[in-house]
This record gives sequence, structure tokens and C-alpha cells, in this order.
Amino acid sequence: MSLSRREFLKYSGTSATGVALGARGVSLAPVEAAATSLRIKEAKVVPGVCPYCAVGCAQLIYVKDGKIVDIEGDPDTPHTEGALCPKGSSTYQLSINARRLTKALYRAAGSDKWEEKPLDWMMAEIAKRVKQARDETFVETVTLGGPPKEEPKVKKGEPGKPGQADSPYPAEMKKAAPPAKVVTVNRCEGVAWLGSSVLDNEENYLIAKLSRGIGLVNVENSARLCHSATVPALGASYGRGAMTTNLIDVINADVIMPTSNWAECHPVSYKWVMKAKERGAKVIHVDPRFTRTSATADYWVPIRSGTNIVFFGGLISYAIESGKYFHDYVAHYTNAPFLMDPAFKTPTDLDGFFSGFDPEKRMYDQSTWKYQLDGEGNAKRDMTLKDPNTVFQHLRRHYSRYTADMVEKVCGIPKAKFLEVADVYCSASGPEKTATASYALQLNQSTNGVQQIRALCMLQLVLGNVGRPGGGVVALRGHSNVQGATDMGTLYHMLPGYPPMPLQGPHPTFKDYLEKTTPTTSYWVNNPKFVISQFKAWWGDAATKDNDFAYDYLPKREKADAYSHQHFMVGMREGKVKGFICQGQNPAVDSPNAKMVRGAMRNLKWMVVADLFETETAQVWKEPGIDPKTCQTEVFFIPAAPAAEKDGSLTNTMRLAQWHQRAVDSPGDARSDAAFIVDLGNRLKKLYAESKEKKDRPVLDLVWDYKPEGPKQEPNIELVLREINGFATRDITDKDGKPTYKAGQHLKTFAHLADDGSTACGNWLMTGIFPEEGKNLAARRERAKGADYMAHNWGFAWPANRRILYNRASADPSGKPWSERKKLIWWDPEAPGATPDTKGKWVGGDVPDFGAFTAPNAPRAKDGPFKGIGGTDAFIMRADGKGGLLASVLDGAFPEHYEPFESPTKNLLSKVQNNPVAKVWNIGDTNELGTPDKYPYILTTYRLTEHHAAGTSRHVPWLSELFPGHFAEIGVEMARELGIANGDMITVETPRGKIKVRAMVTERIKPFIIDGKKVYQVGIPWHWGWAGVMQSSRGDITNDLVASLGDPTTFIQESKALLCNVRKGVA
Amino acid sequence: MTQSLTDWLQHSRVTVVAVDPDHHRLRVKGEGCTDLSCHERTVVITEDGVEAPLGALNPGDVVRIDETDRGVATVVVLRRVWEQIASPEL
Repeated sequence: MSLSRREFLKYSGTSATGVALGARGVSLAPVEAAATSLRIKEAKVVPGVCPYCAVGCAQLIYVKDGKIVDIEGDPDTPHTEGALCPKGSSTYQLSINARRLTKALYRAAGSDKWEEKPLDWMMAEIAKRVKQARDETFVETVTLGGPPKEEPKVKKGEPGKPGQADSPYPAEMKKAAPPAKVVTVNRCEGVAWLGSSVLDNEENYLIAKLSRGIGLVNVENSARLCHSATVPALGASYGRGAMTTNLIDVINADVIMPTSNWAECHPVSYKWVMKAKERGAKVIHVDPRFTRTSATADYWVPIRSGTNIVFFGGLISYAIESGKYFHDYVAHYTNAPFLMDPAFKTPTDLDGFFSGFDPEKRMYDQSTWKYQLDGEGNAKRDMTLKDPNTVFQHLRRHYSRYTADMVEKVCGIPKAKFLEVADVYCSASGPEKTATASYALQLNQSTNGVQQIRALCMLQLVLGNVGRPGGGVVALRGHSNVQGATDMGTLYHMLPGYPPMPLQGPHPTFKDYLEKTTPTTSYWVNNPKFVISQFKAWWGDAATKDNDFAYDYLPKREKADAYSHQHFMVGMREGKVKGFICQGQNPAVDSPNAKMVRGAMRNLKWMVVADLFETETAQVWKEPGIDPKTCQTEVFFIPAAPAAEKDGSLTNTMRLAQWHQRAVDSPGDARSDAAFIVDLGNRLKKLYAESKEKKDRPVLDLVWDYKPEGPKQEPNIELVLREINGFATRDITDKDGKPTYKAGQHLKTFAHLADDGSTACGNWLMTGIFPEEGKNLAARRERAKGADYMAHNWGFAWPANRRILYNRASADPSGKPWSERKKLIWWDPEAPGATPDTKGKWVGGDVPDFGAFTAPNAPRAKDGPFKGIGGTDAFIMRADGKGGLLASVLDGAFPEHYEPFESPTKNLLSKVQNNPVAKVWNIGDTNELGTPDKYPYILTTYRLTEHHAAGTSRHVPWLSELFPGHFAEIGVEMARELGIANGDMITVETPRGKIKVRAMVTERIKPFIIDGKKVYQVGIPWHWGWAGVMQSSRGDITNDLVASLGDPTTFIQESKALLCNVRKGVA
Repeated sequence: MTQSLTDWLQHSRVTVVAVDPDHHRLRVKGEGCTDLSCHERTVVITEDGVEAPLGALNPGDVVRIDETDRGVATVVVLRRVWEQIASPEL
């Protein structure tokens, strides 16, 4: 008799079956499992989700006598098959942990101790502080335009402004002062709110709603620091800023190219790579370090940090020049055939710059970055791809400089190895083969972050690997809800569902906002329905057509270059940000230039930290070496609840929302973050209740009834999910007068959203997750069945439960699968059509990411929800309907290599050393940059399997025991040169700070030969800080070494490629 | 049936197809293409709110054409052509 683990766990939970089987000694595994079954015998089983990384391992939480007794992987989970990694296996200790704080704590200004305070007192004081800071720093209106206060002066020899005597611009461009106008901005810059990508979707949604309701613009979550470059990169390339595919589908790949340490950082999902390998797939691991991923790969490609564009560019060039690119896919589904303006120039022509660079403003005038139009306004195309002005030929010329020799010189990858893997990877192209590529922070955390990811996305387009089984781009996120927190808009620049946060200059009125943010083609033409429904969800009856649905209630940003994580930390340093709410994140450890950031936080008037443990952020006033008396920041510590103690959903890295249930009540004062947010909102509304001021209407009118219940006043989270999903605000009828929705009824699809106020919807992307009362699709758990290998009845994947985005591209232009081997959806001309008298529909193994009844030969729609989209426009969220080989990004139309700001070499591709439009914070000597003469070693940061991010795991004994302490990984040769032995204490230093760590001397890190010169690299994990359960979990903060630099689009930091010095000893 | 805001928005804006500043001519595309003969004093309001001549327009820009109280059309730039090939999500 045999029993699978899946079956065993199913049986053992609530019956004695498991014990009996184990006792028979059928095999060793059941005997071991039987011991577990004794503990869980007769326990109640509650569905959970692992709160660590974004693989989203579903769990079973066993509860007996009101206590958690065990947490296991749910064996039915299609994408994990019940497995958990060390972190997931220790989830139990997030709840049951002696270090967990369960009392509300207050630290007075200048005090050297915490004081226990009643939670009610704490909440009342926090609400007062928020109100006071809001009232003191609130800006209700600004006056824009009008005559300039002073004529700008131009120094001799410098280019002048348009209209000035020595200006290079035409005289007719002379600036006419626009008339002065008063703009309502309803903005409060005095408070920052850091949500978290480990909080649930519903909690992040509540933060987005309340923070904007009170006027905050400094709103972020940890996604800013890890994956913010993902969204514009994938968005510019494909239309949506999300992983295109599904982890299970990786099994269908013929070649897989991880560019992160997938096996260790997202271990449970790596099984799909291994399964694909068992079926014959080749694995190419691209990473500066040799890791467990490398050990399982067919090829390890060591690459110098920060040079990924050169490697991907080399592959693109190889694919084109070898003829291995997928011509028909490229011609029909990308913008390759479009003709560019003849004035458009690339760095090939302009030695590192694209046309339009303005050195004074450090930005591009993109007016040449455009398609040629014919007399009817349509983009001109050459389907042969031969015209020199086609995007394809520009692409070809641009990457012609990225030769195998150049890859060797810049990346340090031996030419022969590059050519070998290029051949393998690019062979996974065409109708019969596909390749999957994955990435994580090696590409993100860079001053070229967006473009590094863009380059990978473009490679996948060139090979025809998007929207097809075994293809796609796997964006591996490190926190459980990076995707969801991003979707829910706890980022300074966007609302839930990705409409932008308004800017005061271009968007003074709602009309301006809609006119300027809504494209004229693509599914985004429905933007007015999305945002009006959102305003209805936020301000209910107070959002009317007459007041532009309360548009002016929303805060408006002053400018685009403001309010990100790094911006508001500098704002704290400068005293502009006075109050700070921090939930589930540890910026004292995870921020770039962390030492500067901790000093900035000590400059706050008050700070709220909601967390499970006493993090370094909560302790910033008593940091070792800091006299508490010198810190005048009041600190409020609110004990929080882990996922096992609350209801809610987490959206994993493949857009899959999964519901977890509250298994037990939280101890002491601890409660969910949702309870904190809802409570704070209610208290603020009470504090403003008597106000007659216009500026306070957004607070008073905010719809905020989530029916908190019980001693902890826990809100009803399904009410939040219902609001996110959307509902009818009144009875709705169709054009024939037939009732479609009754007031209050849940919406079934975002296609039913309206722009007349009849629908309310917190986040249009999620509509359909809760299509009717009692039918929460995030909570469904039905294992994969038959041909439905992607398990469409497990959870809910946005949008519309599509598992592989852009899947129209899985069929050829005529609608037939490219091949039998790689079929996913196809056009069935005989299937019943949209109306009884028509035929034809997209059918197959996934929900079509396309108009279900849009025939392959349909012309571009002239109107309607798919305006501008025709039968072969597989990328429905992009205005041209095509995959974007060329796209408008702030720092270039194609990715171009620039060296990291700290680099051991000059840029060999052009005269432009660094990204010319990157963000550099001018904060004096706290942000000095190192040069190779003083800092000769490349430093890269990374993470481990056993620890998590900024250190939750350091409070978990089971995990802390697994690593003996903080360390730096250095190569044997470098260690020999410096006289360092394995285990020695060493000092690693940059101009921003120095840390003391133990040396791990290893063969896994090799020197690179860069432009003929040997360069050593150092690898350092970044999980450590001074707080931790045992000595091994305490150590210096790696991010103290990192500079305050940012990618120009997202302001993500450069923490993967720095320069450092290393010396033996710690003196 | 009343036009929805979404539909109104799509019909109230036009796309510049061609610009001929020397001859004060402009071709725009809404539901179909229209050739406009512009007044010498026709001004373009750029995305920065700055007045500029017709030459400030690019084929592909999305604009709104307003009549001013002086009887002269104003071409208001709403979306630049390059925004059409930018990420819809940032």
C-alpha cells in the first residue's frame, strides 16, 4: 500500500487514519509523519498562506483549544504541491514566540525606556498627532502660473532658456506666462505612511484610501525598494507591470534562464524548473555568484553586477544576426515593423545618448521618439522589417555594438561561454519551442533598473516567448504581497489599479486629469470608469457628477520627482516630514543609506511602528551608540498580528490572490493592521466631526464603515474585499431597460464598471474576485484537474482569472495555435459567438486575455472598450496593441548600458559613464560616492533562504539557529591577497559607512576580468541588524553601505553594484 | 441615449496627423481626418501650460481644439506622442 504525502496529510488532520497507517510501519515517511499527526489529531484545520516570500505557499493551520499547534503546507496547492521552505516551515513561530510584543508601548521624547500604555490611549494620542501634523502642514490650494518673480539669468557660455538671446531654442518658443490659477491640491506633506508588501491586499487598500483621504502624498510600501522597476519595465514592454506567466507553466519551457538565485530565494517554486529539467529543458543561470541555482543549472554564467543590459543586448543581437528570432511573431505582435521618425537617433549615432538630451535639465525631449504616420494618421509599417527606419532595424543597429567581445569585456563573461549559452537560449524560439526567463533584484536595484528589466522583456519578444506556454517573464518577488500592495496603490505615484496620482500642474481639474491620463486606444480607454468607480467607493454619496465625483478630495502631487521612500527619508532629515506611520516594514535596516535614514527618523516629532517584534525602526532612539536623550521623537509601538491571526488575501508573484483565515485570536493588545487603520480612520473622523472647513470634507465624507467587532474591534475584511471588487450603487438596467444589477449587488466583471456613478469599485483589476455574496474566489481551493494544469479554480488571478497574460499571442495571426506542442488558446470559428446569430470565439486552456469574440481578422476597433485594438493586437493594454520593442522610458527608447555610479571601469560602450538622467540626492557628505582607487572591490548584496528581508526571521529562533552570523563572501584569491582566512572578522567600507562581518572565503565567488583587468567582488547578505533573538541573528546593517541614488523612473536604489574596500580586522 | 463620459472623452480629443506651420495648416484625426486652416494667431498650449506656435506640435500628439473668446482656435496639448508608447503603468 502506498499513500502520497498529499493524501496522508489530508487524512491525518482530523481523524485517526494517519496514526493507524503510521503505526503499521508502511514506510519510514509515514512513521515520521505520524508523530506530527499526534499533535494535530482532532485539531481544527484553517486555511492559511505563508507570509514570507511571494511564491504564496498555501498552508493548513492546525488549531486546538484556541491555539495554533502546527502549520503545514497545503498539499492541494497546485503551484507548491504542499511544500514549504525553512521560512514557511517556521511560520508557527511568528505567532508562538516569546519575543513577540503583545502590549502597546510608548516612548516619550527624550526618554530612555518604553512605557506600557492602554491601546485606547495610544490610538487616541496617535490620532491627535496625525491631525495636528495634518493641520499644521496641510496645503489646500496653490496658485500656479502668473508672471515669473524673477527673470532667469544665464551665465555666459551656457545654453539659455527659450527666447533668451543666446538660447539654442527657436525664438518663437519664448515662454508666455500662463495666467495665474488657483488649484485645489488638498495635500499634506508633513506625514509619511509606509505600508508594507507583507500586509494583506485589504490592509494596503485601507491604507491607500485613508492616507489619500487625509491628504497624504508620502505613501509607500516596501515594493519601492525591491521591485518598483518591474512595473514600468513590464508595463512599457507589454502593457501591464506584472509577471506575465504562471509558476506551474514553467514546466513547459524548453530553456529556463534564471537571473536571480531562484533556488534559494524562492525555493518552493523552483520545483517547476527542476520538473522542466527532468523533461529535457536546459537551465542557464546568470548570476555574479555561484549558488544552489547554479549547481542545478546546465550552465552558470557569471556576470558582473550592473551589466545585465550588455548581456541581454548581446543575446538580442545574437538572436537577430543568427536568424534565430521568431520573425512572424515579431512582425505581427511587436512594434518592430513600425517606422520611426527619421530624426530619431540612438546611442549608436550619438555616442551614448538618444536624440533630445537636454544636459541642463538632465532629461530627454522625446519629440523625435515617435512613429511616422500616414495621411490617415496610422503608423507606417514595413512588414518585411527591412526599412532602415523600422523599429526592428533601429533595434538591430543599436545592439550591434553589444557583441560577444563586448559582453566579455564589460560583463566579464568569457566569449566562448556567452556564445554557447546564446545559442542554447535563442534556440528556444519559433512555433515549437519557448523559453522562460526570471529575474528579481539583480535587475531591479539599479540606477538602470527599469531598463535592465526592459532588456530582458525585449529579448523575450524577439524570441516570441510572451503569452505562450513555457514562455514569459517570471518576476520573483521577495515579500508575500509585493504584487498586491502595488496593485492596491500604497505607492506615492498611483491609485489602486494603476491610474496615476494627480499632479497639480497638469491635472488641476478632473477634466484635465482624464484628458491627459487616458490613452486614446487600448483597454485603458476605460480609465474614466475605473477612477470614477473608485471615487464612489471612497466618497460614496459625496462623490457626484456635479463635483466631478470628488476629484478635488484627492491630494495632488506637487511634482513627479518627490514623495518616494528615499525622498521622504530625506524629507525627515530636513524636518519637512514630521510624523511617520510604519507598518510591517523595517526602514532602519532596509533603506538605502540606512545610517542616514536612521538619523533622519530620529529627527521626527513622532513615529508609529506596528509590527510583531521590536524592530530596529522601533528602537531607533536606542540604537547602540546613540544617547536616547538626544532623540526627541515620540514612538508608539502597536503590536500587530501575523497572517495566521487575521482574515485577508495575499497576491503572490503570479497575480494569484489567495485568502487566509483567522485561525486564532491575537494575544494581548495585538490585532490586525486592518484594525489599526480602521480604528485610526474612525478616530480621525471623530476629531474632525465638528469641522466646517472645506479641507476636512475628504476626511468626513470618506466612506469608512467596516463594522469592527469584538474586543479587538476587528473589521469585517470581506466588506473591504467587496468594496475592492465593486458593487452597484443603485439599480442598474441595460440599454433595453432590463435589470442587470440591484443596488448593492457585487459586480461580476470590470467590463460592467460605469462612469456615471452607478458603480463603486476600489480596484478595477480585482473585479470578479468576489462576484457575489458568499463567493469569495480568493478563498476557493480546488486542486488542478485534468487538462487545467494551471488550476483556474484555485484562488483568483487578476485580471479576470487569466493565468497567462497576452495569451492571444499563443496563436498565430490567423488564430491557430503556433504549434500543437505550444497551444494555449485559439480561435474557434464554429463556437457560438457574442450574439445568437454570430459564430466565433477564443477557446482553450486559459481565459483569453483579449476580446473573447474579437476575430483574428477584425480591424482595429473604432470605438468601445477595446478601441484601437484589432484581431492581431495581442497586447491590449498598450496603445498600439503591440509588444514594445521600442518604448518611451525616461532614460531611453531602448535599454542602453551605463555603468553603475560606483564602477571599477569606464563605460566601454560610449562616453556616457552613468545613466545621465538618474536621481542623485544632494545630501552632502552622507552620500559621497566611491572611486576605484580608494574602493577597489565590487560589492553586491543578496538574501538567504533562511532569513527574510530586513529581519523578521532574526526574531524566529528556528531560523536564527540556521545561520551562524553575518558574513561577507569573498573569493579565495582575494582573501589570499588581503591575508584573510575563512572566519576572520573583516571591515567592509564605503564612503557612507562601514560594517564588521565575518569573512566567508569561498570558491563560489570568482574575480572578473573586466576590459583585461582583474576585479574582485564581495557578496554580502543584508538581513542583519542589532536586534535579534540570539547572537547569530545580530549584526551590522549592510544597507549602511548603500548610496542615495535612484533609477529615474522609479527612484529604486542601486544596491547591487557598489564599490567597497575590505580590510582584515575591525579596528 | 446620453453619451457616457468615457465616450465623450474619446470623441472630444483628436490626434495630430500632420503639421505645416509655414502654411498654418493642421491635419487632425478624430472619427475621420480633418484638414484645418489655422489663424496666424492660433496658439498651442503645451503640456506645461506654455503658449507656443504650431511647430510645437508633433504628429501623433493628442490635442483638444478650443475656440477662445477672441475667435481664434487654441490647440491644447493633452498627451504627447511619446506618451502613447510609454508604459500605461508606472
